[in-house]
Amino acid sequence: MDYDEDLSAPVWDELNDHTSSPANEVNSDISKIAASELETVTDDDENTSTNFTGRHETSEYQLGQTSPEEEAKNNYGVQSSSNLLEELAPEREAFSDLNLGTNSNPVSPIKKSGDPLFSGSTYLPLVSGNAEPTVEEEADYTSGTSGQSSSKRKPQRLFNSARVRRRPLLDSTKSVGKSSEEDKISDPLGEFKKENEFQDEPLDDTSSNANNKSLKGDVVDLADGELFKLSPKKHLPSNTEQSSANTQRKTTNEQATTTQDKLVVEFEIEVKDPVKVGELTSMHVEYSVATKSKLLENNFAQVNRRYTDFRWLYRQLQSNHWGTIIPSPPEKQSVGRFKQDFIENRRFQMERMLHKITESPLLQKDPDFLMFLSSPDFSIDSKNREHISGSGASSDSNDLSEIHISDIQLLGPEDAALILKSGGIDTESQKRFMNISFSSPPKYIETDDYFREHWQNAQVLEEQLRQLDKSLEMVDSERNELASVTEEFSKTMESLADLEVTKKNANLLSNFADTQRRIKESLERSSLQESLTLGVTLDEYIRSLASFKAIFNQRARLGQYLVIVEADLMKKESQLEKLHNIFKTKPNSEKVQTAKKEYQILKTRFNNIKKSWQTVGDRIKNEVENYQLEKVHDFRNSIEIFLESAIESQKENIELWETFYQNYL
Amino acid sequence: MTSVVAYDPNEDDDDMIDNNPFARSILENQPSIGETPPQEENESEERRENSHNEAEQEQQVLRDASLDPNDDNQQEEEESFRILPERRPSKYTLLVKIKGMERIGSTSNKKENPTLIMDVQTNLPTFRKQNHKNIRKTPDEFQQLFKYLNGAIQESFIPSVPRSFTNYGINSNEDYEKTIKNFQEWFNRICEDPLILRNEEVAFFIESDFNTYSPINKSKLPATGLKRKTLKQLAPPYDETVELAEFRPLVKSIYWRCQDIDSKLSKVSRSKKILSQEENSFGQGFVNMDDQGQSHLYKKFGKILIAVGDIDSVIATLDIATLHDALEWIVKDSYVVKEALTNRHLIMRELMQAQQILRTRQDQARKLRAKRDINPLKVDEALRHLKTSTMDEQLLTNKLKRVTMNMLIERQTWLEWYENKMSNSIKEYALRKIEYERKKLTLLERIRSDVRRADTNGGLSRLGREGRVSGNDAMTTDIISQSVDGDDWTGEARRRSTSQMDKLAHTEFDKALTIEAGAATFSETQSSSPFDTNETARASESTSLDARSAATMLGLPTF
Repeated sequence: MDYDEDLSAPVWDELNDHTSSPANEVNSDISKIAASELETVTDDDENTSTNFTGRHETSEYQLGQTSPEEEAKNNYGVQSSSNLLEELAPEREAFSDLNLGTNSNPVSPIKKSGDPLFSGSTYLPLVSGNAEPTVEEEADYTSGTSGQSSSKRKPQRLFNSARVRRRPLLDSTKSVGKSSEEDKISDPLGEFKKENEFQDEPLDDTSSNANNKSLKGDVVDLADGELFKLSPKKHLPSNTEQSSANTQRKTTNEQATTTQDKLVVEFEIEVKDPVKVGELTSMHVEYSVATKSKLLENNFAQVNRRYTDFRWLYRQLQSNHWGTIIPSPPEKQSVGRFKQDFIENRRFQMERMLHKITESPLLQKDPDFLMFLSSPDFSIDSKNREHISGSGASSDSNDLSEIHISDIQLLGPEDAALILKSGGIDTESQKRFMNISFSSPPKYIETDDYFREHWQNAQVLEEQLRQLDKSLEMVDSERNELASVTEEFSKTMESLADLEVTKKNANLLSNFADTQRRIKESLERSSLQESLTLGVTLDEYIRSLASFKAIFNQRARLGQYLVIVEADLMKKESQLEKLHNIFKTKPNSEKVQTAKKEYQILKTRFNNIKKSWQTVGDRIKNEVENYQLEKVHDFRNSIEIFLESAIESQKENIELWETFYQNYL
Repeated sequence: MTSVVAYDPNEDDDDMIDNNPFARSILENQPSIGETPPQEENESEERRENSHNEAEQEQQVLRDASLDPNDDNQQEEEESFRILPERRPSKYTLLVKIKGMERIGSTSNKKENPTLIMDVQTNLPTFRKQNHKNIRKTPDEFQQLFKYLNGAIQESFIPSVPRSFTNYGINSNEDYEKTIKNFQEWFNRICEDPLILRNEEVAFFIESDFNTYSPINKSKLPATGLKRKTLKQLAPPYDETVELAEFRPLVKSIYWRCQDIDSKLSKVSRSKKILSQEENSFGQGFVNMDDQGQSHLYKKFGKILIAVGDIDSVIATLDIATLHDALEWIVKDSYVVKEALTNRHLIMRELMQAQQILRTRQDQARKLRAKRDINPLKVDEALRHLKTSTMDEQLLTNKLKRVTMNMLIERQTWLEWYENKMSNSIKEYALRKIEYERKKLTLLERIRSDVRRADTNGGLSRLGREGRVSGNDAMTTDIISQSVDGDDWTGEARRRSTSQMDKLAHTEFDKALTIEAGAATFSETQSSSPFDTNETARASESTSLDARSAATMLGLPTF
């Protein structure tokens, strides 16, 4: 048995190599156009076999699922965070795949790389059966390459699509069979494999049964063992049991991870050593980011990042965590980018940003963040991640409050692809007739007073803060101006003293000049102090306010989508009814079926959007409270420090003049 | 250059004196020279031969006198009195007391041409009566008098007329006091100078009707306009009076540098004004952010910031009013001094020319004498020429002597005046500065407890300085670092009277703060400062911009 599989693996691999991409294309086309027809055909053909394989895969999926979870329990931080992620945002599984893939497991490298992907693609016949590890590796590879070339989306979609349905399967097995069949048929290779597999089964019937028991006993052992050797058939009797147990475990795991989430792992981050890199046109400043943390592989990482990377991180986190206020990076600035002051200031702000991220238990475990801190070739990794999550993180607008809603994250990869083909949610419904829209899209009106009120408050506050910041800046620059003028004044005084008109006079004047110079120094100090305390806080406040507004924007955008899709749904519904009326006699006619299908798609889409719209709303409410409290605290703190330093410098001023007066007048 | 050779100090003077039969007699006759120059005309032709030497000798004597003044004090004094009879101690006095000032008419007239009212008491013979009361004069008339005196009395540094307004702003009390003070100072300086005192034009000025004075005599500078400019371009003639030779470049430097300082100071002040505006708008930003909470922290904080900005603006004005105005006067005055010294140079130049002419005339006369057949007409003409040029030379020599001597005295007084003016203005500047910086501190400390109370865990405790504010008790009262016993940040004992303390504890802007911040919320901060009653607040406000009282109050020996 073992040998058989080992031998067969490379063969499948080769086969897949040649066939995978055309197969994928076929898959996407077919699944879109003629999914329903094919479904009926396959139903007839392999009624039993699909059922088997379907279940077998389910169980295997579960096993695959359990093993990382067990590992997570054995305090494997990264994986726990990925699990958490699965809970929070199941659609984003593709990402965790990649992440786990990069973090190679010392115990069983093969399984490790394949495992998460496996779990994700459980329902894909393409990766089913004995040949799984190799196929997956291959798939991983294709997805990786397509990610880079970015024009080939299909393989990704193929894998991602299955993942979306993992959860519904757990809840209700009905829909699963349907969708898995759909995919299966699109890939003839998968079918072939399945048949192969099916024949293999009886051979290790008993051994796998035993295996099954041991699996229940010790999942970790099992995970360490070669998972794919288990024959799917053996799991059949215990399948339902296991799935329920699995869900239970999942929920407990969920709880565990949520409590774990609350714990903030300590981070030590330093952004340092800004270095100018590149020639004239491509010149930029790179900062080295050194991190010490338990969450990192070797507890330490040091990488070079540039400003745009920080922006990317901001966008990516924003896209990963809807409704969460992400600590914002410094504003863009094109002029004077290489001045020392500016670089230092930016460095400081970016360091603060990273610190703030690490202070949040949710954000600090974000795999993208960890990747940012540790990835040696960030440019490739970031592109991959951005592509997979559809975050659009690198197409970064200047305004921190502007947002991009990832279709992939919102609707799942498959639906997102559909949407993408028709040009995005907002335009889809309009493009019915010759690509020209005659009606304006329905407007989303925020109904919840809470959001309206806070949005307005944020607007007003931002305006006020901007004004405040501007005048502080003016005060600051004027103070510096005054300092330099005072310096000049002091110098001319000195020159008059140099005349030595009389001894006493010269003494007085030179001391006067000296006092003026000290005043100037004190002025400079206090202006530096101001910009370091109140200025920095204000600046941060304003930027975080942009981030704050961004979450409202997210909700508004989702709401907008919701309204559009709802309108579409209504349209479809009425259309469907009409069709029903017309084709009363043959309800299974082609047209009705298509309409039904489309209606179904829209309905799930609508539900998806609605769900995320609501969750985002809930999370916003939570965030707003924390945010305001924290910000007000920060702000008042800096006011107090500002005041105290003002008082101190005032005392210094008085003292300077008193001393001068006492000694020389 | 010939004249310069004649004055060569390296020349062996003693030999010359020994060989010159007229040297002694001239020395002896000298007292008569200054007073009765006509004597010279009667001198015989033979003596005229040596008049060249004579002139040289005179210079020599003068130089000796000026070079070592301690040599023979008695003789020196006599000498100076002979040359400057006005300097002899005399019974003549002129007392002018400026009583008040009126600013009337249009805004520009108010500013440029106020009316000064004064009482005059004198025993000068040039005046028609001894007491004059309520004489009204405008700065224009002062300017006319100055212009005349500057031309007529070239021996002295005539004090320049102060500006008719100050930078306190023409409507303020301080401006009134300060302008009067400045004019009084001018008169004091005029009255101290015996040369000016004896000038009849001063009497004409005092006795003329309001706004009608214009100089009756004509005065003329040695050179004016283009000629003066051209002459100034030439290298200054050799000056054996080292003090004065060095004095002109010094005064010139003072002039330029003070002007420089002046412009820098106004720059500083302007920058401070702008800063105060920005501070105001910064404070306004806080006021706008009013949090509607029960504490109104932002509003209060903003108000304080605005008030601080206002104080900065006051400081900017005071900077200008104290130091800038004084410097401006110094600039004006040093210019006059510089020009007076230029006049002296011009006189020296004239003298050199006269000596040159005299020499050629002497040569002519000598030639005539050597000739065998003499045309008596020619002889007569030559003699006449020689006589007039000798006279010219004598006059100029005497004039230069007078000028040099007087300027040596004046130089000392002027330097004293300069030093006093400078240190006084700096003193005033520093005092005002201290006063208002202290007020600023008071204001800032007033808001401290409010900010503190807003957040017990923030700010200072973050800096690890929670010890500064001990527990909750401290939060109910303000910590005031300036008290009757002195300042808590310094070990030095600075005792203040309660009235002084009262001044410090209140600012001109208290009213604005109380009115706008709302009586209820502000009362607590009010009650926390020990001297607070509305009466004192108002009282301090009425006097707070009075420079003199502030200076005297703060200038008590406590510092």
